[in-house]
Amino acid sequence: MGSPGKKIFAIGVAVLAVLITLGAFGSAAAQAKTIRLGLLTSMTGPAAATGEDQKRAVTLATEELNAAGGVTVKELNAKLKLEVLIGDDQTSREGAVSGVTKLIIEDKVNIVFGGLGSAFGMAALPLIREHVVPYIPTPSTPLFTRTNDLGPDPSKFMVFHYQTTGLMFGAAVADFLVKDIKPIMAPDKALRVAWLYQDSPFGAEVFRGFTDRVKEGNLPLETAAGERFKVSETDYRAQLTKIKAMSPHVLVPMGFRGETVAMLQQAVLDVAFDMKKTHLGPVCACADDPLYYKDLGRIGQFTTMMSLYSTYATPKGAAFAKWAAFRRNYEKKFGVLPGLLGVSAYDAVYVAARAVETAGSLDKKKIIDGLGKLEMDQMLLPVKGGKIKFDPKYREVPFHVFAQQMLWDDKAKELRPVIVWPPDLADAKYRNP
Amino acid sequence: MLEPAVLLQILLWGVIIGSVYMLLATGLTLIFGVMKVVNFAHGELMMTGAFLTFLLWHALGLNPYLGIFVSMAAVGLVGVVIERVGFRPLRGSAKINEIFFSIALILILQNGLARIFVPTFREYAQIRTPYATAVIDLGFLNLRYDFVILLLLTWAIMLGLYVFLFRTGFGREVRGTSQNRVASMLMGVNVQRIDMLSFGIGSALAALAGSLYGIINPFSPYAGTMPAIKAFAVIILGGLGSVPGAVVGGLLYGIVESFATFFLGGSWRDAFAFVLLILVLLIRPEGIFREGA
Repeated sequence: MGSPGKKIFAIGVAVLAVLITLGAFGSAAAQAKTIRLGLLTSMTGPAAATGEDQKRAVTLATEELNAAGGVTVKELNAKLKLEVLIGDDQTSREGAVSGVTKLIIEDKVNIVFGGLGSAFGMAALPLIREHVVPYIPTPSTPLFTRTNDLGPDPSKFMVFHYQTTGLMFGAAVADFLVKDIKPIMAPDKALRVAWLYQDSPFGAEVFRGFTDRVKEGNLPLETAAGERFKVSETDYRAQLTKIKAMSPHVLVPMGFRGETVAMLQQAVLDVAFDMKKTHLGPVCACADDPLYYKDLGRIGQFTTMMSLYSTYATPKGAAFAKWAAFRRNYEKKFGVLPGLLGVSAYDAVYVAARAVETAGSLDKKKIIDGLGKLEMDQMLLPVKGGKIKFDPKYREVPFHVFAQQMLWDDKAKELRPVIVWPPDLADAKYRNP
Repeated sequence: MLEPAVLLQILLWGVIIGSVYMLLATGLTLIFGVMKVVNFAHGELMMTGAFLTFLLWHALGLNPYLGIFVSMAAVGLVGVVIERVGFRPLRGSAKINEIFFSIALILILQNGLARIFVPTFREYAQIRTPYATAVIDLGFLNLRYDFVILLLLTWAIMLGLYVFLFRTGFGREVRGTSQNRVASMLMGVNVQRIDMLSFGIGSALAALAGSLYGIINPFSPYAGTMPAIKAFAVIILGGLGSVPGAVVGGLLYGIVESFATFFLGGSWRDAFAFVLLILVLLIRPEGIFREGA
């Protein structure tokens, strides 16, 4: 045994070593910590291409935020980088359950976000509720935050819906038709509107949004037909023939991109709708994709589309200056242009980052509070008032939907849109064929 | 009061899609008639044909109406290979093996096509012919050139098949094998060659059906499932193994489907035609035509 002085010295050295080691580990742990965002989307199955669009847009957003130093988390007194983990819903409800399980249990994400199919996001909801994970879905159904009777659902308080709902779209269709189409097609009588819409919660919600708006606003619109078609239907000729026989002023074809292109082509080419007598549109924003302009061709001339993000047009106003930079960066990095769902996921990353910053913590409950209190400038998608803020009742964002009209561009040899409604975003007037 | 012109249009849409069902069902019934094999992947062979024609047009600029024949030959060859390496070794074993083999084929073909085409063309592709926007104006409707060509081509191929089956020695062997396999073998017919040939012709007809479908409608790798189910219904309706039954059944099915959609709505498109099938089976369980007729 050595002297007591030597003993004290040895203990001192040991304590110092432990402290240094702990300090070093602590610092390494802080450095390694990231904000883990779980993107739940379709990476395989029929919707894989749209899921890929979301993945690309999310990559861009996280790279931008990380390049700017990351997100300040007050509780950890550190700026943390964002890390995106993917849960593949395999374009199916069952896939969504396994995808979200991976994100929550294996990846231990702080927030789940994204997605394109309402049914898949809804299938993931029970697990999200069970584990109380903040969730920012980007599919369209309002049922993410509302019950079947469309009231708010307190059991879904961790869900913050970042997408235009079918109800919002339907209401916007009614407003646009009254303002821009009725004065031309039916100036002195009710405008007869025929719907051909997808037989799904999405189609039903848009149609319901339209009829509710007509009823609430006592608008001079008459629903001439409400024909439904099965999801992924490709032959609409019999129904279009029936609708044409009713001589409506407007035909609203409401489906996804492929369905919409087929409906319009068959309406013009096969059933011979006269566009001077029947306006074709507006179609759904979900059709807005570079392939829509390419596939539809010249027959899409003068048709209209409700939109939230346009592939080619930009609404007027300083708030939309960032669209050009986003499109440029996206195209430069990935060689293609983004679509609406990619843009929604891009925005959702910024919303998630701001929610963590507002919460000042990675604690899920605090992030949920952060989302509730969040108020930030609009990113890419237009928001009424220019501020992203989830309304306390439905936890939805009041998006500013606009209508665009398709015109043939001889130079591009494709259709190109101009924004025709509402006046505060429009850069042109509706052109009557 | 419905105008006759409107009803005529609905009839036309029914005949057009019915022609596609007819081709698909004829191929299926030929395979079943000769080999007594139920190939559930027939719809996927249809989509393989559609995508091949699409690829030849999109990548090489080949007129789709020429591409169809290349596609038919290629898918016919695929059919021969499937018969040779898949169904033939399973012959004589439990039926469940054939069923699972064809289900595996469905998954392989669907996912293979999706992997190649979906990243570029998203969920749908469509074959555009040089006559895509050319129409004959009949006043009450535009009759597209593509529809006229579809009808002419379908009936020309069906006529060719009739001549082959009923006016050639090879066709006689096919019909003989279909009616009595053992007797045909005893007569010196190489039934294995007949199996291969029938599967090849059936697959080529599926490719033709798919290509024509892809010209008039958008399609995806997953779009073959429902037409194939309908083709099964058609051959039950027309009589299992009966080529005339497939022709009549296909057309009838398309027309009923079109009128059901018109009167009852798109949600009833598939259901009502199956109601017709149930009715026929209740009244005439052997189908409109007898098996193997």
